[in-house]
Amino acid sequence: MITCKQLQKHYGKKEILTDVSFQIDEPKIIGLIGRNGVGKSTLLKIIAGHAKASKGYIEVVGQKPFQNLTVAANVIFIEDAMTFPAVLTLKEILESAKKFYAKFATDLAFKLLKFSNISEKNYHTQLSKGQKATFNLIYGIASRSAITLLDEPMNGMDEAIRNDMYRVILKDFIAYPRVIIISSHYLNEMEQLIEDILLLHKGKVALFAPVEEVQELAVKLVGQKGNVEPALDKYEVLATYENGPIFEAIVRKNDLPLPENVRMLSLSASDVCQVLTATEGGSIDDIYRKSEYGAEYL
Amino acid sequence: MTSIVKVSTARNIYEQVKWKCKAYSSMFSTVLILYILLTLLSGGGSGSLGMGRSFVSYREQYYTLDSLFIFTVLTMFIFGWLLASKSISRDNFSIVTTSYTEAISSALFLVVLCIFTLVAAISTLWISILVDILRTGDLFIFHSMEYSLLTFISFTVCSLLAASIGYFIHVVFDFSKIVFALLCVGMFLLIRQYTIELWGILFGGSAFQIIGRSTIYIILLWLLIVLMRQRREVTRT
Amino acid sequence: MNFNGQNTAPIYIQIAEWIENEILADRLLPDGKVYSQYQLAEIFNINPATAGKGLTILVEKEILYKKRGLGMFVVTDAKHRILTTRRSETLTKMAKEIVQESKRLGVLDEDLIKLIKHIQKEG
Repeated sequence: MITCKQLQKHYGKKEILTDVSFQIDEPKIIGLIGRNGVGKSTLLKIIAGHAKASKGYIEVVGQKPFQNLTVAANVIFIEDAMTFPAVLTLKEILESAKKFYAKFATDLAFKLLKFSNISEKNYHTQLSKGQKATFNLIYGIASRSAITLLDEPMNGMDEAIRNDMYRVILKDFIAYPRVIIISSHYLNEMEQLIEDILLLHKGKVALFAPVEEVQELAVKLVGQKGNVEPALDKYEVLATYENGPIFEAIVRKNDLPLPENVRMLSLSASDVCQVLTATEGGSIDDIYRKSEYGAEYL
Repeated sequence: MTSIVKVSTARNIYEQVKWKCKAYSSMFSTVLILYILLTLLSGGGSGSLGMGRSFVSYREQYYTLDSLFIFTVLTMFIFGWLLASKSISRDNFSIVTTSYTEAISSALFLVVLCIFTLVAAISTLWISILVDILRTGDLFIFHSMEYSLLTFISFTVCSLLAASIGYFIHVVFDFSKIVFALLCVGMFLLIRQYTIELWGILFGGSAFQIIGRSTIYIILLWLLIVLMRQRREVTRT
Repeated sequence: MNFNGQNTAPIYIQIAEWIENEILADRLLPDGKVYSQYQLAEIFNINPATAGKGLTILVEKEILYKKRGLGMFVVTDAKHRILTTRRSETLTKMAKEIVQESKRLGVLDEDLIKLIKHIQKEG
C-alpha cells in the first residue's frame, strides 16, 4: 500500500530526509519514532500527498501521492495544525464528512464525541487544545481510510482520554483493519498498541521491525563497575551510565553466558529506540560531571 | 482489509462546491447585510425633484443598480482575495481534495456567490422602491426599468471577474513575492500611462463584447491559478 | 495482570504465561477453545499481532493446537506439560541461586548437599 525508495526531501538547502526506503503491504499499526526534527511529519506529509518528495520514488495505494485525488480519498492525515471552517459546528463537520470519506462512520464519531464530553454544538475554534486533538483523532479514526496517518495525535490530551483513545484506535483497527501510522513521543504508552516500529534517524530509516524484535535488540547489564566493565569487550556497547557505585551498560544482545555478578535486565522498545538515536554527546550526567570541575561550563 | 475508494473528479468538485456554500455561508450573509446598510444609507435610488408646468408637484426618482454594482465589484474582489487565503485553504484540506479540485470548486463557489449577489441586488432595488412608495405615499408611475437579461449577465460576469482577480492576486502573492511585486509595479505603470486606452481595450464595447471578453479573462485567470497552485505544497502551519 | 510496571519481558511472552496460568487454574480446559488473538488484544489492550505471537509460541511448545477455521484449542495433557517444564525451569533457576549464594557465603559443597538432604527429611 505504501512503497518508498530512496526518498529524499529538502527545504532549500536544509536536508530533512536523505534516504528513506520502506514498504507496507499489510494492514497494521505502525509507530513512527524519531527524535525531534528528524522528519517524521515531513514523511507523513509526503505520504498524504501534501508535500512533494525532492527525489526518489513513492507510491501510495498504487499512485504517486502528490496532488492525487485517489490518494486524498484513501489517506487521512491528522495533525495538530488541522483546522476546520469557523462557521461549521462539530455536528455539521461530521455530517458532511461522509460526502468525502466514503466509509466515514458518522454514528461512531458522534458517540465518541459524546463520550469525550465535547458538545456537538461547539465550533472547532472554541475547543481547548486537548479537545481539538480529541476531535481531530475521532475524525481520523471515523474516516476509516485505508491509510490513516496520525501525527502526534495525543498532544495536549490528559492521560485518561489518551488511554481511552488508544483503546479506540485498537478496537476500530480490529474491526476494520487498515494501515495506521502513528507518530508520537509517547512510545512507552503506545508500545502495546503497535505492531511495528519505524525508527527514523538522521534522515534515514534506522529500523523497521516488530516491537518485540526491537525490544530484544539490546539488554542492560547492571553491576559493580569492576564486574561489568571487563565483560564489555564481548558485547557491542551502545551506551554506559555510571551512577555512584552502580554501573550500567546497554549492549546489543548476544547469546554469550553472563559474566559473574552482573545482572541482565530487559529493556522496553522505547528505551532501545532512545539508545539507538542518542546524541553523540553522551548523557546529561556527563555534562553535569564536567561542570562539577567548573572548567567547561559556567 | 479495507478496500480502496475511487472518486471521480467531477463528483469531488460538486461535493466541494456544496460544502463551500455551507462553510463560507458567512459571505452570503455579509453581502445581504451590506446591501441593506447601503440601501438605508442612500435612501433608495438616486433621484431629482422637480416641478412641472401644471403646478403639480412631482418627484422624479431614478432607481439604479449603479451604486450597488460598484459596491458589489469591490466586495467580490475582497471575497476572492479572502477565499485564496492560507487559513481558508487550510480548512479546505480537512476534506478530500487536491489543489486542482480546490481551485475549480472555489471558482464555481464564486459563480454561485455572484449569482446570489445579483439576485440580492435586484431584490434590494425592488425593496427600496417599495419602501419609498410606502414612505412617501407618492403615486408611482412605473416608467421603465431598462434592465435586460443582458445587463444582469454582465453584472454577474463582472463581479465574477472581480472575484477572480482578487483570488488570482492572492495566489500570485503566495506563489512568489517577486512576481507579485513585478505584477503590481507593471499594473501601476500601465494604468498611469494608458488609463483610458486600457479601459477601452478591456471593458469597451457592447454588453455582448464585455461579457465575452470578461469570460475569457476569467478562464485565463483560473488556468493560471491552477498552474500555480498545483506546484504548491500544503502547509497547515 | 500488569503489563507495564516491573515486568519488562516481551508482552507476547507474558500473554503465553497468562494462558498457561489459566490452563493450570482449570479456567481453560483440555480440548477447550482458547481466546482468539483478537479477543486477547481487546482483553489486554495490545496489538492483535502481539497476541498472535503469544499463541504461536504455545503452539510451538505443543500446549495449544490449531483447528483450521475454528481457532486454537488446549492440548489434552497441556497441564502436565506446563507443569513439567515449569518444574525443571523453576528448580534449575532456584538451584543456581542457592549455589551462587553459598559461594558468596563460603559454604562448602558437601555442607550444602547435607543441608538440602536435611531439609528434605524434615519436609
